[in-house]
Amino acid sequence: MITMLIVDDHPIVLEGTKNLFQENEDIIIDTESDATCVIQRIKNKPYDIYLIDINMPLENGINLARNIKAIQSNASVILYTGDDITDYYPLILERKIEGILAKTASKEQILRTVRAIANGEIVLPKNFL
Amino acid sequence: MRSKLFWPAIILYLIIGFYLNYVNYSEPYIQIGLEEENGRWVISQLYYKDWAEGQNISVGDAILTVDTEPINELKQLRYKSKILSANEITILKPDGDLINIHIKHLDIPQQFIYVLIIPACYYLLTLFVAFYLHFKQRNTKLADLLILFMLTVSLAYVSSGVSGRMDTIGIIVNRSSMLLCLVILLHFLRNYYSFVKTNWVFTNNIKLFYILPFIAFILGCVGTIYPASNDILSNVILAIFFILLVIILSILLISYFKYSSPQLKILLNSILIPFLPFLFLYALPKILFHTYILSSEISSLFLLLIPFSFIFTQLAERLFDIEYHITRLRYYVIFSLIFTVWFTVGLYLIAGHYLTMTVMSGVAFFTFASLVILFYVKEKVDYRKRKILFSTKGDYIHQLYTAVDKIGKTIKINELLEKFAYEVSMHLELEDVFVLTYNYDKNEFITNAGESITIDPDIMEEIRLGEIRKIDKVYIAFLHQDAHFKRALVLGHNNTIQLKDEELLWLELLLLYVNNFIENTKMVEELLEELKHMKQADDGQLPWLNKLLWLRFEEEKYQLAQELHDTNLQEQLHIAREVDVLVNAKNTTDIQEKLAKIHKQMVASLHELRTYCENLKPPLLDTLGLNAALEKLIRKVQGRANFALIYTIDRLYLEDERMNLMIYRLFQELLNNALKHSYAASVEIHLKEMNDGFEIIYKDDGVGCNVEDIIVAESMGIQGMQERVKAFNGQFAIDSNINEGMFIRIMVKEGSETLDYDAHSG
Repeated sequence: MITMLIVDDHPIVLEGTKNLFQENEDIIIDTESDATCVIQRIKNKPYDIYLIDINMPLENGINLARNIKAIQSNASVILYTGDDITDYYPLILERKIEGILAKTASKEQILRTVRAIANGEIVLPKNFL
Repeated sequence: MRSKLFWPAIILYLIIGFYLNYVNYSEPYIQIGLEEENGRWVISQLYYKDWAEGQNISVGDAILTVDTEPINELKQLRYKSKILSANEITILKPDGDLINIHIKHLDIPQQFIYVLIIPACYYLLTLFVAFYLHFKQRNTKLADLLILFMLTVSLAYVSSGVSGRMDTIGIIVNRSSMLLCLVILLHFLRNYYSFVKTNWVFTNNIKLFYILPFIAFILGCVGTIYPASNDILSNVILAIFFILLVIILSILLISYFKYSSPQLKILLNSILIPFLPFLFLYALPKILFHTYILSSEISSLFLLLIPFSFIFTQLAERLFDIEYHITRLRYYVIFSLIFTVWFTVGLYLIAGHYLTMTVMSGVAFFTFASLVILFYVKEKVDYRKRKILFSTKGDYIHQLYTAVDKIGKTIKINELLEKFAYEVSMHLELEDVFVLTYNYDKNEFITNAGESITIDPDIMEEIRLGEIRKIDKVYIAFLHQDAHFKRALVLGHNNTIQLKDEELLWLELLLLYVNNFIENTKMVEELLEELKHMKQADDGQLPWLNKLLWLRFEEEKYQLAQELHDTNLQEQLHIAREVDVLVNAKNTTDIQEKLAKIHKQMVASLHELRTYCENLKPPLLDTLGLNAALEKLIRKVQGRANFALIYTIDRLYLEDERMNLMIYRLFQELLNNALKHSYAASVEIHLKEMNDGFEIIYKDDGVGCNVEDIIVAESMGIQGMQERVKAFNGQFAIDSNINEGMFIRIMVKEGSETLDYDAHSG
């Protein structure tokens, strides 16, 4: 059983992303569109994995990831962005996040990454090296 | 006591007084002591010795007739061996000469003045003052008592001469009025105490004391029936008189030492001081040295001042005023006296041989009087011309200071006016002080004028700046005026008011201050309002700038729309059409393959769109920071460039985050120029940290250009960079020549920019 919170300020993306996991009953999805509410929310109910959009107006995903890890050190964070993901690879090495996914990534890629990270593995694309 | 007693009292006073004065006038008072010797009445004592000498009357002469009647028929001689008054006497000198003497008032000036003229004058004066008090003072109970007191004192005085002649009515009037005047005084004091809110230390049952003068009246009647008892009776009356006097004085003394209020002090002084001449100049020397400095007639005249000194308590209800006048007079008198002594001594030393003592004392007195008058004249002139006043306490300035200080602490105008009125009422000891606000437009008063005081609107319209007017029973002082309202201060006090010059000046000054203060307060309020409006209208402050900005924004938007329309939109349209084809395709065998192709196209289109967005908003700048963003930019340029790009990027710690964007844009512009125009083999770009700022150095070995040309041509975005750097208070230096490459140095100090910003915002 994997619990996951998806944070994105665009409701349509949020809905689309959630739908990707519909058929996987072992992954339980919650969503949050307001980045500033996340910390308060996970104090009561922590998740295994956080899938977070980087470009959010009130708090960007990188800061949010840091804040989550500050109160929940075992949390796994996957950033999720429409930007060029190669810019963010260094964050994985700095152990600030566990993974990075492009919004254009396929369903299969996403599922694989989530499962791998849930298993404590790190999935890196080839062009990272 | 009610004012209906006034007219009966006056009529009684007139009748009795007329009679008494007539008796005094009818026969001169001569007072010749007699002794019976061998059946003849012989003169043993002469009271007016000068007169007797002049008329050749001497001790030992026998009196034959008085007023043409034989002396033996004079009734009074039975009880008193004296001739008290007579118009004509016949004496027999020891040598046998018969002398007939007609006595006229003027023959004996002393008796003429002290027995006839002064009592008569006092009588008339009292009458006038009584009328004055009655009509001026609106019949307060105190005034009535004072009038009665003065009338009885006057009667007692006038009757004293008459009773000396053993006149029946004179004796009765004299005895009753002596006691009556003290009882009335007691009554007056009791009421006066309650008027000035001081505790009355004696019994409140004053009416009981009115029995005493009644007893005196009865005793007087008894005395006329049994003339032999006169001496005893007069002693009884004197004893009661003395007891009453002691009671009154002790009341005053006790309450003065208990409460020591200025009113009591003056009251006490006004009773005690008239006694002093009698005590020190007559009674004490008489007892101690058997001689006197001032005769009893003269020294007792001072006692008659007592009723008049009480008038002050009525005329000026605010005893404060008397104190002011007394201290001022004392001040002037002391000054004048010192100078007079100085002057007289000088005069004596210089011209003492030629001048008699009489001339000297006359000159001294004249000098003294002139000086006192001079001081008063000077004071008037000073006030009229220069607004300078004699100040007894010297604290008017101080009080003005504290009043202004207290008033100045208020912020709102209404509060200010209230405090001002309070200060004025406290300082001037007035009861009704308030600020009247008059509305011009509606011609009506806004603040209630109070029930007791009504002000004519015309007066409000008339009164001008700096004016203090006395209207009827109140003063009205102009305070402030603006477009809609006129404010005035109204001062009233118990239906009677008289402000001194000093107080008026004080008030005038304070009014001026308050007027200015209101003006300033209003100005500050208006300024604040204006500032508020300005703040609200701040955006519209530079319409041309707004217009320019708006046009620029619109232009940008137009360009954006055009670009998106030309590129991404077309692609998306194409994809949509392809998908539509697939949706309606009948042959679904290779649909997967075709969809994958479309997906590829879409991702490509997305990438293009992302690049486009990244151009508009530099990526990473607000997530990973300036350095990451610059690194990414440089990697991108390196990917496209034909030149070798050498770069160093220091990590900057800038307070102003907007600087990051500027630096990024400068890099972007410089590198874009290098890509497009330089044709360089190698390009260097450096971002260096400096003390409170940064420096960007760009260097290439490309074709270069003429600097003037660039600036004129507005090409290459160099001008844009220059402007941006200037906007941040930086320095932009460019050095280039054709075929000699290009060197650009940009320096921005954060401190100077911040300072400048502060200066503007401050």
